[in-house]
Amino acid sequence: MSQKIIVIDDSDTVREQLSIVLSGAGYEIIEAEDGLQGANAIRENPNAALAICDVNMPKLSGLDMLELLKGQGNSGMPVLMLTTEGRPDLIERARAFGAKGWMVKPFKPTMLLVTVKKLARPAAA
Amino acid sequence: MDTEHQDYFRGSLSQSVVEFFRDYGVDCLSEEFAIPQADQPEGSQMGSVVGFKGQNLRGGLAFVAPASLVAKMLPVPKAEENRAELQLRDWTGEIANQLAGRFKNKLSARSYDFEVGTAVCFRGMSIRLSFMPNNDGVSLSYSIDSAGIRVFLDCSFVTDGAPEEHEMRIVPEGDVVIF
Repeated sequence: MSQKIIVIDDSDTVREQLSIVLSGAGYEIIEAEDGLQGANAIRENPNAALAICDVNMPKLSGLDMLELLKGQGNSGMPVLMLTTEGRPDLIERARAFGAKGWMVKPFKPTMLLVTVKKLARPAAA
Repeated sequence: MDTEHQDYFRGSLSQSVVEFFRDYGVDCLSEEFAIPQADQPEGSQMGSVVGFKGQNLRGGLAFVAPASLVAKMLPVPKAEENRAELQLRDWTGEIANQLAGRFKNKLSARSYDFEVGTAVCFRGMSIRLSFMPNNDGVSLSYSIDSAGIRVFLDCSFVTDGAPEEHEMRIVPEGDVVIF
């Protein structure tokens, strides 16, 4: 069974870009359009291998989503932030809220796949 | 805003534009070679605007380009006809978002700090962008494959003058940090 990755970004184009790369590598993709949908998708798919999350989104930002999840007891799911932001204070905030990585857009497919393989939880036996 | 800061913002924005298009495999000719706005061919154009606001700076960034050029730059396969317009709008908004993000990262390195809003997209025929009177914004023009693109920046200091500057290490576009 293929591993699931939750992709959270308000841009359809970015979600499609990610889906093309990740599904090509054998992952199953679950999409969410903002932090609220993302938090729900993480709760509803506790066995997903990884979540990839934008920062600036309507309704609930990626950092606010991380804070919300941490406040509810961290699901333990690794989260990779994928954003245009590169400020160290934001990166530190994400790390403190439990994110495992930070990538600045635009992403290179090979770099994304290497990072995903490094951060994704191994498939259950 | 004094000339020094206007030049700095212009330089940072220009770098952001050139780097952004280069990362998507497109070379754009700089302003001096671009087609003047008044001489742009008539036709359908896409535009997007994103606002930003922070402790020391606020404003907006606008991007306008021919719809055909925006479609050509799509990083994903073109959608079927019933979704094509939505796809083009989304991508146009994402361009403004990524340009603003790059601009922010360059300015953050000199301690400017602001939040970028959500992009708004529009389409029209022969869109001309112009500043309000007495505005000291920055307007850039580029040519890609003989088509003109425009990037407008309208910004002002929230407080009196520029912030005290200090260097900050910003993670560059395309890089990854693992915790």
